Amino acid sequence: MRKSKEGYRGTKHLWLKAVCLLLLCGLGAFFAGCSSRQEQTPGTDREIVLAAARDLTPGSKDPYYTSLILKVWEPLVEVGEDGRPAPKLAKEWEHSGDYKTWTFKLAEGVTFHDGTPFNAMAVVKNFERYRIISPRTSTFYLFDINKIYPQLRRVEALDEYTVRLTFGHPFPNLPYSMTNFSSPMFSPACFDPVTGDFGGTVAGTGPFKLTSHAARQYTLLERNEAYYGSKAMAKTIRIRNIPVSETRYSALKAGEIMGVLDIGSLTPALTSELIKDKQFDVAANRSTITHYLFCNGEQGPLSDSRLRQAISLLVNREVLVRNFFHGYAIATNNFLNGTSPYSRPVNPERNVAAAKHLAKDVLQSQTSEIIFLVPQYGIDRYPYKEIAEFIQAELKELGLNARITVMDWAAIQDARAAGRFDLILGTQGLPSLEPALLFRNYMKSTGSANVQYRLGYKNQEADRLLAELDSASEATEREKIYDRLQVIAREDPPCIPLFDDMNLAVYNKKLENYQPLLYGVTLDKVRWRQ
Amino acid sequence: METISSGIWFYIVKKLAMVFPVWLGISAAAFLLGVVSPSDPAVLLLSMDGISTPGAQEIAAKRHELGLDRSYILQYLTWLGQVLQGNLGISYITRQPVLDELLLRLPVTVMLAGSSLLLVMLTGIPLGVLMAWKKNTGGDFLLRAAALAGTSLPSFWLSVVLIWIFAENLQLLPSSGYGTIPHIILPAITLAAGATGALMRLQRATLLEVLEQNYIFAAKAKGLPPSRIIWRHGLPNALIPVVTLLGNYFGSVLGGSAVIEAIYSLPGLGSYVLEAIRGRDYPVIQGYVLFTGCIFVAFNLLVDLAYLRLNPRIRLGGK
Amino acid sequence: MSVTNKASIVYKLAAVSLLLLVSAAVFAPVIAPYDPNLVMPDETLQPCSAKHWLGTDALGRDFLSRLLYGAQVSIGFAVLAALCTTLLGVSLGVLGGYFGGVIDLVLQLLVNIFQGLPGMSLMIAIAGSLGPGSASLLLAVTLTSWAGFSRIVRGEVLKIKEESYIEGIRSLGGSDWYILRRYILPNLFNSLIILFTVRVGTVVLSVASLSFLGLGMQPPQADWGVMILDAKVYFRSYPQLLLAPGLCILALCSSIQLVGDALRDRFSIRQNTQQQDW
Repeated sequence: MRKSKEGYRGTKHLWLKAVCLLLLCGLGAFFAGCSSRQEQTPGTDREIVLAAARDLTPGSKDPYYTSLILKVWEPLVEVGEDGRPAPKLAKEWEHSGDYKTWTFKLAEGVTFHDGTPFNAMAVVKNFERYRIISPRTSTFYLFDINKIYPQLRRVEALDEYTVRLTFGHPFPNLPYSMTNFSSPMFSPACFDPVTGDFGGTVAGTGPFKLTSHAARQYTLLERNEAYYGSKAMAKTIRIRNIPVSETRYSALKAGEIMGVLDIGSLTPALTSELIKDKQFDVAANRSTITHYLFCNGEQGPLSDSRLRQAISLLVNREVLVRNFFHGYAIATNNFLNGTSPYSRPVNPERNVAAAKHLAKDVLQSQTSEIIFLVPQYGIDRYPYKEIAEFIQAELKELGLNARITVMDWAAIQDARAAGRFDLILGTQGLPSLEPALLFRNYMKSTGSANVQYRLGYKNQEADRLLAELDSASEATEREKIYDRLQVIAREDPPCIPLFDDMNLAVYNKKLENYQPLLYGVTLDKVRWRQ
Repeated sequence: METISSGIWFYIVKKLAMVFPVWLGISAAAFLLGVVSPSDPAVLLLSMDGISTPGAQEIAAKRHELGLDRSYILQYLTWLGQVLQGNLGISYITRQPVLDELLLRLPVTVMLAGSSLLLVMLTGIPLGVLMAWKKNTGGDFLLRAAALAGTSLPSFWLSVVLIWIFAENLQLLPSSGYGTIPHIILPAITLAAGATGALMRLQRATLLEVLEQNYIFAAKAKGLPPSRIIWRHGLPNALIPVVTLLGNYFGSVLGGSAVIEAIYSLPGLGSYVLEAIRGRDYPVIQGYVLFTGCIFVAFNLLVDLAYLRLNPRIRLGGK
Repeated sequence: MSVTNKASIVYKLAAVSLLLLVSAAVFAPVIAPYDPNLVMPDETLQPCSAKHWLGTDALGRDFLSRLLYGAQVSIGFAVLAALCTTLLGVSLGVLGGYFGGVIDLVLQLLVNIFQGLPGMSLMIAIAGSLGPGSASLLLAVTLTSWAGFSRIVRGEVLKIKEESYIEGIRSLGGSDWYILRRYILPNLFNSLIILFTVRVGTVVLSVASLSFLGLGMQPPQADWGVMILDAKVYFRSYPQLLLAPGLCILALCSSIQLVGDALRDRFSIRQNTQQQDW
C-alpha cells in the first residue's frame, strides 16, 4: 500500500512531463497549422475552394448521385436563362400532331467520363433506370417517372442518335417537364441495372469529373479534358460542406473559401455585412423559390378568405424586403413564381385601410388568438425569425394576436396533420417551369398540397379550368388558362405569396466569372482573376 | 490478502452485472425515442425536397416500404433481433447502413471529445491543485477569476469570439472543417472552457477540504513536506469527485456535441443524430442511442475501476 | 487581515451585482423605457444614443428594454430549472448512497440509463412530443441533468458515510434520519452549493443552445441566450448586440457562484476560522 519514495517522486515528475508534453504538442500543432493552411493564392491551376450549406453529393443511393450544380452530369433538356426549355444533350425535338409521340435528336460525339459513348441506347437504359428507381426521395428533387413522364408507354432508339418517347395521353408540355433534374443522363456502366443504385462513382457527360468526395465534408471536381463543348476554365474545384451560415461567412473572411453556392448560400444580412469589405462582391439572380404564408383554410379565423385577403393587403412587403432581405428578394402577391415564363406578376398592392375594414367585417372588432408556426429551416436559411416577429406585430392591427412557435419540419407536419395551426411561413419551389402541376396541387379542391397543407381551397372556376387544362393541347389555350388561374389566385388566394427568393452568388474578387444562374452558378466559367 | 481480492472481485462483478440491464434499458429507451413522436417519417421523406406534396396513396406505399404499418412491439422485436446480429438497420434518408455511418463519424467525435477531455484534465487538475497549494495568493485570485469566467461564458458566445479572432482576423486557425490538428483546436477549446472552470473550482474545494482532515494534520506534525502531503495524502481522496465530474463530462460529450459540430462543420455523431431527429429517421436515432449508450456503459466501467484505485476503502470490501 | 478584506469585498460586490440583476428582472416593467416587443421598422440597428441607451436591434426594438426583460426570463427559468435538478439529483443520490442495497442498485441502473442516453436527443424528443415552450424546456433540462448530479452526490455520500464518526453515532443509537439531517446533508452542502451555482449557469447556456436548435424560448420573448444568437449576424458592425447579453450572463453566473460560496462558508459546520474561499 505504501509507495516507495522513488515511485512517489516519479508521480510528481510524471505530471510535469505531461504538462510539458501538452505544451510541445500545442506548439507543434501551431506550426503544422501554419504550414498546412490552405493558401488560396491565385495561380491558374490552383484548386478553387467553394462552400455550400448542404452536402451536394449524397452518393450512390441518391437518384442523381450529385447535384446538377456541380455540372458533373447533364440532362437531355435544360432551362434557358429565359425560363424556357433549352437543348442540352437533346439537340432538338419534335412531336406528333396529337402530342403523344415525341422524337428527340441527340447531340453527337459525346462520351461519358468513363469512355462509354452517349447515344440512343444509353438514353433508353437511363429511362429503364428511371422506371426502376421511381419514386426515389432526394434532398434535391423527388424523382418519380409517373409524375415527370405520366403515361409513358415506350422509349425506343430509332437510330444511333434518335430516341422516340410514346405516351398514352397527349403531353404538350413535355420539354418543360423534362428539364434539369428530370432527365439526368448517366453512363449505363456506372449504375446497377437491377437496383438503379450507382456503383463506385458517377460518370456523366459534364465539363467536370467527380474525382472524390467525403460524405458531409467535400466534393472534389476536376476539369473534363474530353468535354465536347467549351472546356471548364478551372482545373480543380473543391466544394466544402459548411452547414452554418455564419461559419461560411467566417470562412470567406478568412480566405479559406472563395465563394458560396446552392440555395441559402449566405443569408441576406450576412451578405450585406460581407460586401462592406471591398474584397467581396455578390451577384444576384431570380430563383425558383417563393415564400408564402400558408393559412389554415379548414378551421379557425383564417378559413374566411376575406381575412386571408386582409393579411395580404396588410403585410408591408417592402419593409420586409428592405430591412430583412436587404433587397435580395422580390415582393410579390402572384401565386406563380416570377421565373416561370407563364408568370404574370403585378405590383403587390398594400392597403392598410381596406385590410382593417375586411378584418372588422370578419372579426366584428374582437381580437382572435392565432397560432403562427415558423419552420426551423427558415430560421437557418432565411431571416424568418425577424419576418415572423414583424408580421406578428402587424397582425395586431387587424385584431389578430399571433403566437409564434418555431418548430422543426417534422413537428410542423404533425401540426398540419392535426390542424393545430393558423399560419405557417414557408417556401415552395417550382417543381418544373410548367405550372400545371403546381396549380393542380394547390388550387384543385382535391390537390395534394391543398389537402395536405389544409388550405381548404374550393374555387369552382379553378376546378373547371383545371379540368379543361387536362384536355387542352394548344399552347395558347394553356397560356390563357394559366393567366386566368393567376388572376383567380390573386382575388381568392389559396395561400399568401410574400416574396420571390433570389440566388446569391457571393464570392471573393480573386475569382472572376462567378455569376448566378436560375439554378446554380456558372461553375464552368469560374477561374482565378488574371 | 484474500479478503482484499474477494472485495475487489465482488466490486467488479457487481459492476459488470449492471451492464446488461442498463443496456436493455437503453435499447428500449432508444426505440421509444424513435417512435414516441407522432410524426410520420414517410411524409417527411416524400416532401424533403421542399417541393413535392405526396398524396395519401404514396404515403401509404412508403410506410409499407419502411415497415411502419406494423405494430410497435413487432417493430421493436425485429429491430432488437437485428441489433443482436450486429445490424443497426438502414437510414430512411440516405439508405445507407446506420452502423457504417456511425463508425465513419465516430473518430471525429472521439477526437473532439478526447482533445477537450485532455484539455480539461491537463489544465483543470494541475491548476486546481496549484490554487489550493498557493491558497489566497495573487495567483490564486487570478486563477479563480479565470475559472469563474470559464463557467460563466456561453460556449457559442465564446466560439463566435474565437472564430472572429483566430480565423477571420489573425488567420491562424481554420474556422471550420475536419482533417488536421489545427481544425480541432478551436472546437476543443470551446467545448472544454466550461468544464475546465468547473473542474478547477471543484478540485480546489475538495483538496482544501481534504487538507483539513485529521490525518493531514498528523502528517504535518510528522514533518512531511507540504508538496508530499498534497500529492500523496491529499490528492487521491480529493480526486474522487473530480473523477466523477470528468466521467460525467466525457459521457456527455461522447455522444457528440450537436451545437459545436454545427458551428465548426465537424461531421460527427452529434450532427448526425440532430439531422436524424429532424427527419424522424428512426433507424438512425435508435442506432445512435444504442451505440453511444454502449460506449458510455463501457466507459463507466473504466471509471468505476478508477475509483478502486483512488479510494482504498472500496478495496477493503465497502461499496 | 488584508486577505479577508479582499475576499469580503469580492463577496460584497457579487452580492450587490446579483441584487442588481434580480431587481432588474423584478422591476423590468417599471424601469424599461420601451416595450421590448415594440417593433419600429424605421429605427433598426441604431447605435447607442440618448433616445436608445443601448441602441436598437434588427427589428428596431430598444435593446436596453429587451435586456431588462430578458433578465426576467433568463434568471427566473434558470433558477427554477436548477432547483428542480438539484432536488431530484440530491434526493436520489442520497437515497442510493446512504441506504445502499437494492435501492442503490435500482437507482444506479436508472442513473446509468439516463446518463447513457444522449441529452440532446432526449431534449429534442421531449420538445417534439410536448411542443416547444417553457414547460417542455423545464422537463427536458431537468431530465437530462439530474443523473450526473445524483452521481456526484452519491459519490460524496459514500465518502462521508465511511467516516469513522458516522459509525460511532450509529453505535450510539442515532437513527438514519438523524444522521442524514445532522451529518450527511450538511457535509454535502459545500459541494452542493458549488454544483447548484454552476448548474444555474449551465441551464442559462443550455437554454441558449436549445434555442440555437429551435427548441428554446419562442420569439419574440427576450432571452439573453437568444439575443446572443440574434447578434451573431450583426456583431461585427454592432458589437454591443453581442457584448451586452454576454456580459449579463457572465455577471449572473459569476455572482451566483460567488454568493453561493459565501453562503457555504457562512453555514459550513466546519469551524473555518480561516479566510473565506471562492
